[in-house]
Amino acid sequence: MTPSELIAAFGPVGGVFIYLWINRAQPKAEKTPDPLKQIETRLDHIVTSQADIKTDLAILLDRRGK
Amino acid sequence: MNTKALAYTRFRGYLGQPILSHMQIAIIAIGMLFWIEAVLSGEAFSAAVFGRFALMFKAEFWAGIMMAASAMCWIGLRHPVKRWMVAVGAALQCAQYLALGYSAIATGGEVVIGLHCTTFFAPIYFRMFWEAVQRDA
Repeated sequence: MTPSELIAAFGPVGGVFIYLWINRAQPKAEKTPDPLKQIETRLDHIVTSQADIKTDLAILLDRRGK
Repeated sequence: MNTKALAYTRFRGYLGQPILSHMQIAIIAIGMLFWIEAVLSGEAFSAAVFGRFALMFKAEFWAGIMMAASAMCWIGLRHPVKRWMVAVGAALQCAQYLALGYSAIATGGEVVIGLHCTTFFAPIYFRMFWEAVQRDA
């Protein structure tokens, strides 16, 4: 078995393997934000806003009581 | 909120099924071994098994299509799904399996090989192709 035969046999196979390895995951620069994470952030924001409103209401009611 | 549970229950569509990716890896591996066998021994397949039509092309031709088309499908199926890659890869595979099936059944090969190609592999790839070209799949 000559080196040229080995290259002809394993070269293309290695090329395909490298191509697959390079493309196994999306590059970080192209990654779009996870929609679930975005929804979670928005829901957290709503919960925080609700808590703020509750606190504000409690303060207002407390002042009125005085 | 349990994000993992929500992600698990979210419908990912036909092309999101992990089995499709596993299948591509297996076919790429078969294509690689087929290629190595074809280059090193030159007797990777015979007319008695695959038919005379298949033998009109070199074994490397079939092995090359098998590797390239499955590699396209695998990369296309990785998140996020790249539909055009899946469509081209699946169309190539479908055409290849139909050709091999025709060769085995109609030009003197083993009928069971032709049946595997035409009733098992070709329809799977046709479904993948169809789902990839449907915008709402």
